[in-house]
Amino acid sequence: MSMFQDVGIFSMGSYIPEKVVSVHDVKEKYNISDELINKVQVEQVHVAADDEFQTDMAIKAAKDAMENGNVDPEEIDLIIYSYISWPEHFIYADYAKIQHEIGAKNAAAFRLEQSCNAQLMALEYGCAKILSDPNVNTVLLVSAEMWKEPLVNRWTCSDGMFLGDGASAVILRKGIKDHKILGISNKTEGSLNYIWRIPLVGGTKTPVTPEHVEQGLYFGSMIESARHNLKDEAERREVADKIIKLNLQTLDDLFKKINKTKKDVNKLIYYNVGGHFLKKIAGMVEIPMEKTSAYLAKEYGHMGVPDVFFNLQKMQKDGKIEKGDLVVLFNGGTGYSVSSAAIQF
Amino acid sequence: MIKMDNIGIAGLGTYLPEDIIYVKDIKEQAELSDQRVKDMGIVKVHVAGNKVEPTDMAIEAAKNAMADAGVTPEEIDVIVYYSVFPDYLRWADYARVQHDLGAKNAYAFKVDQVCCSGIIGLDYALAKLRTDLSVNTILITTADKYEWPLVNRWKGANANFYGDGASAAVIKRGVKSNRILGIENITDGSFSYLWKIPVGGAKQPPTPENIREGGFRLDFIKTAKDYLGSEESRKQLYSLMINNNKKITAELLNQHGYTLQDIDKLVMYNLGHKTLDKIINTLEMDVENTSYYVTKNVGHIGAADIFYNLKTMIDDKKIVSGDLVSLFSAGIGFSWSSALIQFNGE
Repeated sequence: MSMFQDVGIFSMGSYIPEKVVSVHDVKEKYNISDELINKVQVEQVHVAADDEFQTDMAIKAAKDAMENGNVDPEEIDLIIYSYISWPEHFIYADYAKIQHEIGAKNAAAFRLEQSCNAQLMALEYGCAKILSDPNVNTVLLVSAEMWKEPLVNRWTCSDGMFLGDGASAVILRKGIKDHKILGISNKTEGSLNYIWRIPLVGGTKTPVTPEHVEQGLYFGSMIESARHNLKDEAERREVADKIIKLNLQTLDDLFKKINKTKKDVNKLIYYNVGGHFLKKIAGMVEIPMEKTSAYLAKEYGHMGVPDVFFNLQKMQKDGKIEKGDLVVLFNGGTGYSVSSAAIQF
Repeated sequence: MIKMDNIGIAGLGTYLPEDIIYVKDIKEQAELSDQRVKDMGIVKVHVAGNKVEPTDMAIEAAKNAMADAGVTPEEIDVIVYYSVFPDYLRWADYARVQHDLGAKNAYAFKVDQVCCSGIIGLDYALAKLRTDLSVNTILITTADKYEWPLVNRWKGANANFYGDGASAAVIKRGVKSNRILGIENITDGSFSYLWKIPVGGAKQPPTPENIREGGFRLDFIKTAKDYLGSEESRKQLYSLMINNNKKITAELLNQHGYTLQDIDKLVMYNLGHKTLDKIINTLEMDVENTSYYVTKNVGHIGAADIFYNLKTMIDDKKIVSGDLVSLFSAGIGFSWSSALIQFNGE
């Protein structure tokens, strides 16, 4: 019995900018060690054009999903937009721009944030909405990311991933019989929130000054932020342990909800972080790497929120998902939150 | 659908920072004309200064709402958070709220539909409680702080003065005093370009020069000057605002077999009196039956207005058993949201 009855993913779309940059092209420039390259295992990322921004990419991914499902813009009742990277503008109704540009005249739109998990959280919201509200039949989930200097450096932001640009979208509807969403689980361990207060200036706590900009403080770096907030190896270890525990708790909770075990999982689709993390998570689910989305991380890097739905779509296109597969989606994000969903194909 | 009939607001909480600024005291310094002061009808606002940030205020309001509802932190299943200006720009503020409340069993996230975000929180809570029996208690908390140089609270918008504060609501099944009937929400992004902080995002990264020139500031009056030059475009925006305001409220009422005449009390966001007069007229309400009187003491606290005003009206016995209460807010970008709550006997 599915938690969401027959509500599920009706169609999918994506947009990936054409330009490709290989890690080998930039390793000298950014002083990236071979050791890190071997650990992360991301070969290349896609990079947005100079005149291309998140909402442009989001609109293209949304239109692709609408075209693939033959969905008219007027049919969309709700749009949920997400990202974790730096937006085009702060305090800006970017979700409303998307609503307007795709011609979704009858839709409500808003933004949902739960770091890189935001679209699995949006999936939960969208399914509950369709199931509970007879006036809501078609929900568009869309996310896009762009990692642009001088706000962030895609190669040196984290020592666990390289960051790529791109967008993905899914349309949710009733009457989905061949790949039902069985359940979604979400957990937050807020004690880790302080590690990633990025950047230290720019919000209400410390509004940005010209001096801050000169000193390079208006800059997003996960490494810098963790270095600033975690004083020693013991503290770093404690954080890692908490995240591992949360990962396991979220998976346990999901399996309990859907009345399945690890053994039943046929495919694992997760975010495109470094290969060393992906291997650990596959270990938790006890699934071989060739049954996961890890091969996509190498080609696209971590785009942020769009990863999971992008990978789901790409694996389907690549013929990697078979009829009868139990597919588990899994994602984690700064704060810290972990999210997982199960789809029965 | 599982249980539809008894989902309601189990508790409300608010928090206002101690410091108060009276409009009459800063009138000269802020260069406010007598006409502008009169149009607003806002007498004072509370200000956070450097004492408290949005998450601090949201946590206090949440604690008050939890006490009002009689729920422990461990009972909370989901937390929905929002503030217009965040403490830090790219930060899981909602996760801090979860941790500091001790809501160990809750997951938390943020929704952003600017000033409609509190009502979006209600929308999530209603949908979730109707469809997932493993979720029983949802906390919505929103806070706002309008601090210079991010915004000029007196001149950043043409329809209101901004105040600081927070409000929260606990939503549960099996609530006896009230029932949430439904929520309606619509977005029209045709004017989405009007509101934004020009500098600081990917389109215009900050430089010492553009920060010095005040580029990292929310200033609607300036963007309106830049983008709404013609009388025609201003008229177009104004009619869009008023039409959708009425449309959304009437549509929601209609879905539940009511008309505008059936609304007993109207809880609005805290814009200046001149704008509220227009909303009240459009919705054919008697000013006595609205949150109009609350505005003068707090100003526009962003998304926190709605639950703040609802609680104040309940405390003041302006909302009583049997009342059909309509909540209404609009948000920049623009979105309009309305919720309908039936207050029951006793």
